[in-house]
Amino acid sequence: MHNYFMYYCNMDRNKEFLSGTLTSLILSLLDNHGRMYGYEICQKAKELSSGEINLTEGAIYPALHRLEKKGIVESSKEKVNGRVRKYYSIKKEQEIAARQKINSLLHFMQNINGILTAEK
Amino acid sequence: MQSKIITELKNLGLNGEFLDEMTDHYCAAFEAQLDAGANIDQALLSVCNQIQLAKLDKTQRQLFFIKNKNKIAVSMGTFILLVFTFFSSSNFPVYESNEMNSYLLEVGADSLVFGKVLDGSPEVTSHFGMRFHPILKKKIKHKGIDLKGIIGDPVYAPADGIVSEVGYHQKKGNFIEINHADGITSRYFHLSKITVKKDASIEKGIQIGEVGVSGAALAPHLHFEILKKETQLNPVDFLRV
Repeated sequence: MHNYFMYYCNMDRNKEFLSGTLTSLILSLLDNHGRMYGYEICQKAKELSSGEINLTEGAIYPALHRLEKKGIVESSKEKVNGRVRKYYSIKKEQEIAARQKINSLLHFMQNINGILTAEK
Repeated sequence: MQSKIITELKNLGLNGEFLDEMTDHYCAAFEAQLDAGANIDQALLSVCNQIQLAKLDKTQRQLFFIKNKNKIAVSMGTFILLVFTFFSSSNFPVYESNEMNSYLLEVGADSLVFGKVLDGSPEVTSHFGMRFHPILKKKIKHKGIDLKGIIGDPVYAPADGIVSEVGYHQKKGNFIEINHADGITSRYFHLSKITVKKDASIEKGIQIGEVGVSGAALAPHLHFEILKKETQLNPVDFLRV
């Protein structure tokens, strides 16, 4: 999934493309890593995209809060080095729905890829 | 798109593990503000102000010093060289280890007492921190505060100091920069008149110029900045009596 981003997004465009895919991206990371806090998700996304995807705090936290409000993820607070970290994870009963969402994005991306790279 | 918190911390010269640690810390603070009901801009502004006040650049240099203490002890020669390098490159003060702790706890504005810069109690029309720039039409950090005034209003030196620079700049307009004690510098932009000369030694309360609209300004006001060794501080903290 990340390769598509790298090839078809330049850095300035990332924000535009991320707006529709951020939720799936978060769900995918939470699905693969279990329990994560906001900044950890940003770091992981950056690492997996060779530094191309920089999620800002202004994007990630509101997205996480929306997911929590919708009842898709749940959070727990933990005190680490004097700060309160909020860890998020996908709710057990929402795991299948989350994976479906990720898969439909992947499927969509493959179609987009097919159109964009079609021979003339 | 770059994270504002990371940008802010990088601007202070933070890097490596310490940058990571502090980003995590301030992201948690940002999230807590959102949880408390603040909107994104408010939360970001508040966190950026916290970063400015925490003097993290100094802490980083001190951590470097503490971490390398053992290595320093191994060779007295390296020690002298390192101290020399610190002194010549950044005027880094060397502290005895028992003084270090108290220094690390020192946070926020200093004790240097500032007097008035304008008569009366001028309205702050633009605050310190992130704001929408009326001329550049984009969101950038406001490095000082704007105080409302009318052309010709006297501007006073709020503390003793030495005029380090006067001149005209396309954006700053007619400007003055004054060096005070403790490495504190104050700046005054958009003046209509400058009544002090470079290198002049001035006393608290004397007039240094007049309010104007020179440079990139839309209305008569005084842009007032305070720096401590290159770090921008919130002038409001100094003007509060």
